[in-house]
Amino acid sequence: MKSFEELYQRHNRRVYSLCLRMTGNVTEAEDLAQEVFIQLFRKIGSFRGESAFTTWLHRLTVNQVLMHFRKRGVRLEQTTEEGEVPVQIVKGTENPNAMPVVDRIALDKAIAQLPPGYRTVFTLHDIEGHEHEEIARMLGCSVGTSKSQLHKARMKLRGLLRQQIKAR
Amino acid sequence: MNCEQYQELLSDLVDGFLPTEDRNRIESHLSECVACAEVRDDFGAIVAYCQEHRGEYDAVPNERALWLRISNTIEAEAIGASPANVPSGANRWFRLMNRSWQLSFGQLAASVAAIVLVVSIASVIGVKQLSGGSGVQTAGLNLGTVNVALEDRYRQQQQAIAYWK
Repeated sequence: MKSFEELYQRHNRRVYSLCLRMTGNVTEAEDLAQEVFIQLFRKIGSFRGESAFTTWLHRLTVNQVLMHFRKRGVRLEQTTEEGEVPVQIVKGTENPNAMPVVDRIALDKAIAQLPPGYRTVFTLHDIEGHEHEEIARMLGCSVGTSKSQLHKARMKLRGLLRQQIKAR
Repeated sequence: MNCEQYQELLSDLVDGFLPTEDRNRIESHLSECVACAEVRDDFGAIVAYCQEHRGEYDAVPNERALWLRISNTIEAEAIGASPANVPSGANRWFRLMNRSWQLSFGQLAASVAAIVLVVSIASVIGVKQLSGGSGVQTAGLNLGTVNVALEDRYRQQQQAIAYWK
């Protein structure tokens, strides 16, 4: 148990952050991180060292979050369904060359407001650095869908960040 | 192409997936269209920020409390999985009977098949043995009869020889 605690100490932030970014909710992220470490304890014997441990743990975490979404009935294939903030061009910005609003707090807040499908793809691609092929495999969708979701996520995120500037 | 169609390609442009021909076309549009150029710049800023801060993680609100929750769950599971409070001096039969058995469908089917096979073989062997024993007895009886007949015949031959002498 001591060595498992060391493992927890080493990786809890990584696991929690991924859960937080994918769910956008602190409580859910904590519960999921707990579930991930329990699963890790159960499955650690099946780790064969074919990939890096962090990669394996990352996949375990993503799967856990996706399973959580499925249980909650969250649709990952969300496009421009009704009731969402429409993706649109925001005109009239005085300084078109920069987006000063991008900071940690603003971005986290905006990510949390994304629909789950957009948030998942954005987190996996832009934050975690996965390729579209990997994301498509993980989510069980096509590469085209992954690309399209990412584009819509970025558009929506941009709109949310712009709204935050206006509100300041 | 209108602005909306150009913007569809902006993500690929920022990620560097766009072929040269499309890239040149969109770049010439962006040099003229402020709105689309803004979107491109914002995308660039978001992506660049994410890349710069990759590997930075948020701290768990209460790391120790989360660990306690995890370790408690694991320990509770471990206790539940172990044989239920078996006394140290318990005999083998007690341990066997107090053990929880979990068989998959395949294991169950294999067990039933093995039992049926063993019973069938035992039945066949038993039946064969029974029928084989009576056969030996019959053969024994037949041999006895033949022996008596031979002795009679031998005796008669001896009497005939004695008469002619």
